[in-house]
Amino acid sequence: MPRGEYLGEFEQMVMLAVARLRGAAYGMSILDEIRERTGADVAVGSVYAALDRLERRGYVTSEVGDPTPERGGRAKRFFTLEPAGAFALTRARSALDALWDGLELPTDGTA
Amino acid sequence: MTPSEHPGRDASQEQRDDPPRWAGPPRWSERLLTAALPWQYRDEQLGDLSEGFRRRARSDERAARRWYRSQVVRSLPSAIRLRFQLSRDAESSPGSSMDSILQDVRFAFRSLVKSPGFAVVATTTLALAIGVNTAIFSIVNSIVFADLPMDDSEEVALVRGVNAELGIEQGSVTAADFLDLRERARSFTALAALTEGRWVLTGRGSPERVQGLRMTANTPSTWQLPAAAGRAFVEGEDDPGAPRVAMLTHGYWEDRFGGRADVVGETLVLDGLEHTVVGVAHPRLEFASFIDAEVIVPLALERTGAGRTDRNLFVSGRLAPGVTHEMAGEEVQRISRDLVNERPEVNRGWSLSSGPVRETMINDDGKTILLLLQLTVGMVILIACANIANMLLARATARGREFAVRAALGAARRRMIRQLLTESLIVSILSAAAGLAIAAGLNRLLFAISAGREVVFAMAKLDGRVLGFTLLVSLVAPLLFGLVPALRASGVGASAALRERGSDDGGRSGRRMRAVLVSTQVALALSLMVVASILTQAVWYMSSRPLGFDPADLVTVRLDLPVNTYEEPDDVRSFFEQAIEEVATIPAMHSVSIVDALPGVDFASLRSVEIEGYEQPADRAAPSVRVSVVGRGYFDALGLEVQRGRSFSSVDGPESGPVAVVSRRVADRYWPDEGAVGRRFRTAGEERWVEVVGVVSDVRSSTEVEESALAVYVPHAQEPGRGMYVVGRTTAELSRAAPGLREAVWAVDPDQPVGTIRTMERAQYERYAPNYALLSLFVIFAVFALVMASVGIYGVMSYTVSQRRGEIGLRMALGAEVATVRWMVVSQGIRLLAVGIAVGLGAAFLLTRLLASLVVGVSPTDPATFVGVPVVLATVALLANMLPARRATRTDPATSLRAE
Repeated sequence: MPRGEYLGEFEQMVMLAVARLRGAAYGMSILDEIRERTGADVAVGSVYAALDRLERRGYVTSEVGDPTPERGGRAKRFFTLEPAGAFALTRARSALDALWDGLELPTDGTA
Repeated sequence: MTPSEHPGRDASQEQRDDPPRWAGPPRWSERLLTAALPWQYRDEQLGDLSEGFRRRARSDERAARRWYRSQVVRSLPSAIRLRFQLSRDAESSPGSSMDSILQDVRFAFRSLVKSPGFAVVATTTLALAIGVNTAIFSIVNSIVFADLPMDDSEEVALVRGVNAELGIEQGSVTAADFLDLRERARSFTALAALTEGRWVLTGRGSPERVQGLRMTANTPSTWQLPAAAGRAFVEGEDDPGAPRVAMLTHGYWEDRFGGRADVVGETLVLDGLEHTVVGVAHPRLEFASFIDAEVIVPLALERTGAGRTDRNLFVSGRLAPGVTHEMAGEEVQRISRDLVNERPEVNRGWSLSSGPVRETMINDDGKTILLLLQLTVGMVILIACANIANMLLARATARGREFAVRAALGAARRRMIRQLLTESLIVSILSAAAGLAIAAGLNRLLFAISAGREVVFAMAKLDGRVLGFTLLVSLVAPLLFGLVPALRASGVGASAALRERGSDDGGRSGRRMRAVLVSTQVALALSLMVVASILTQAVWYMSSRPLGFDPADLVTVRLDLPVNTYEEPDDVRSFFEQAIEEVATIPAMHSVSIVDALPGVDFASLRSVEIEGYEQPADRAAPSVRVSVVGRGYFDALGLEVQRGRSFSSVDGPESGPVAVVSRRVADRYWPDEGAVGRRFRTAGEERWVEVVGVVSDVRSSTEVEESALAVYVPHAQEPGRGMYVVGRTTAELSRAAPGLREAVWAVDPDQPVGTIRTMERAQYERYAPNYALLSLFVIFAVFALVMASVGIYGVMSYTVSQRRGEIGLRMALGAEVATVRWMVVSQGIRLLAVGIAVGLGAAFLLTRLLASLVVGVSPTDPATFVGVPVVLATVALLANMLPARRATRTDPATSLRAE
């Protein structure tokens, strides 16, 4: 599946957040992690849609946790990065690094 | 921001009602996302959002709400994408959608077979409802959406004679008026006229009576109906001197000539005159009253004689380009006013009116009645659906655990709903198939019962439109009766249903609605049953009432002598004398005679008479009697007793003085003291006195009237009519006597057509056949209403019992008597029944008052009926009530309590 070979930017952000949270990754914590580090206010629905895609590809796995009162009695779903996911992230990074190598763009650094 | 939110007001309300610390996320946003998300994703996403909201609300609730709403709005597209993704998964998973549909169908059949009671009752109810609806719709279809026998029918107008004084709105037109209208009217490109015709067809095997239409030669072109074979009439063929031509109707061509194309050019001898067949008419011509037409000939019109006075033309015209029906109507009215002035002696009180063909040809009252009937039977389908819905609700409760287990094992709710709807759809499709058969059977039955006298039953066909209607009903019905039970059954939360019984019965309003529904059905059934019962009694009374003679083995056959061949009275007399002699030689026949009107079938002609020596009170109308022309031996043939004087004999001929025999009632009425024999009377306005020579016993002229006819008989020898019935007693089967009868007539005149040979009994039946058809319809409706009411009670009580199973189990476990528990259930049904019967009796009482003028021999408030029918209804309904009650007490208390 050629489309699935490289990760999209948003997918990478979500997976990196999951990786950083180390076993404490669930919807709200992922949202917070992304906002704190990048300032991007992402929608919870998009995060779950991305995680759904990633889980289908075997990059992440999930399990249901316990409900908490703060959540209106609803359960959390915790996500873990799988080795395949880690490999895909690394490959995406090296592919980008290889492309960036020695390149200078006129607008570089302003984004 | 979601459209349904008013943040300011919302927030202030929340602040007043709740401390901000405990405020929940915005309700509508939460609901919106809940609805959009597939259920598998709800918990975690809504949980996350709620967690995020709480955390933010601690510092700033308003900001938290803003955040929440923006999250919801931005998450909606993903939620919808997830749904699509899931349905794609479902399609590509091993059980493909086709497989799963087959699986649903198999499972539905299995679960229906497992509960045959439900399957049979539901299918029967719905099949009856669909059957009755389809039957009525096929009649409505044939009348309201009738395929008119003309092309571009919206530009065809009908011109009818109107006489307000006589209450005639759809009268016919005289030939003279038609010809004048055709010359003067500018609104039409063509005006055509037609009337009925009857002929004797000879030269093709045995002589036949054929019927059909006589039409102006421009009729086919005015209606734009091309010939199906050969050609239609052309201009000039209706001129008096033109060569004689004829067309055949499509039906007659197929039946009589096997649809041979070479029939064109052949010769037909009609009333002794040769006509060349030029073509076959379009099948669409056989519409409504034209349905029996066989032969069509051109119609020549005259302004004089009968053409001046006889109103017998059916006039139609095609509007000229740019002329509206209103404009044509005004012109026709203007011309008709001139015609009144020109021929006042004929046209006084009459006018002509022109209107669009569809509205005029299809009677408005009839249409209204039909649509009302359709509406009524449409209600019946709704009631049937409600009944089945009740039964399904009962089943849903009973199967609650099954569905809870399936949900717990991961069955999608949508899948379960689909499964349940498949079950409903199968019930509905089976019912539709049975319903179509019922409709076809019902139409055929009604047509047979009406002895072919009701055109509507002949025209009602199960065409594409009717099939489409039935299909639509069978697809919509399962949604009506299956969706709510399916939603309820599948919606039971898994843990809830597994832990405790579902005590949700739609609440107070649901219960009340079901009670009203059942009581209404009982009331409807009761009033229909009372009406049907009273009508049946009246018909029974009429048909079992003595007529004054025995109609059973009395054979009758009608002979109409053509004027062309039998011009002189002597010819007519000698034909019938010889015919009677010939028929009497048949071994199986005896007591043969002739009469011009069959008692109990036709009304003999009514004549005003002047009676010698009878003083007529000034304030009363002149005496009128029913005069029958009879042959010698008529009284013997019918078995009437000659009580005074003598019967007719060969002495009474054309040369001797006019004589008559009167019935007992006439004698008693006009000559009560001194005896009638030897007395005289005469037809009002005539010179000749008629002498009474005998008195015979009474007959009834109709089973509908209470009193015997004021019958007067005159001898055929003195008043020779051309149209007579030969009547005689037979000792053989009718089918064995018939061929001999025909041969006997043809021995006298081989060109004389012989009418239908039937017994007097059959003739009397045919006379009332349309009534019998209508009565049958009522009886069918009544039985049907009874079934529906019983099913209704059964459904509601089943549901109630299934709701109270736990309670009943508890009572039984605590030692309640079986009888007590049963009574508890039954008494609830009895309350519904009692209300229904009370209302129904009231309705029936009002309805039967409307019947009062129609029925004889039975009181419209017949006490036996008003007691007996409710008893029957109550018995059937109680039986339907007992079944669920028995089921309730038969369940093992332990089982039902475990469900608690």
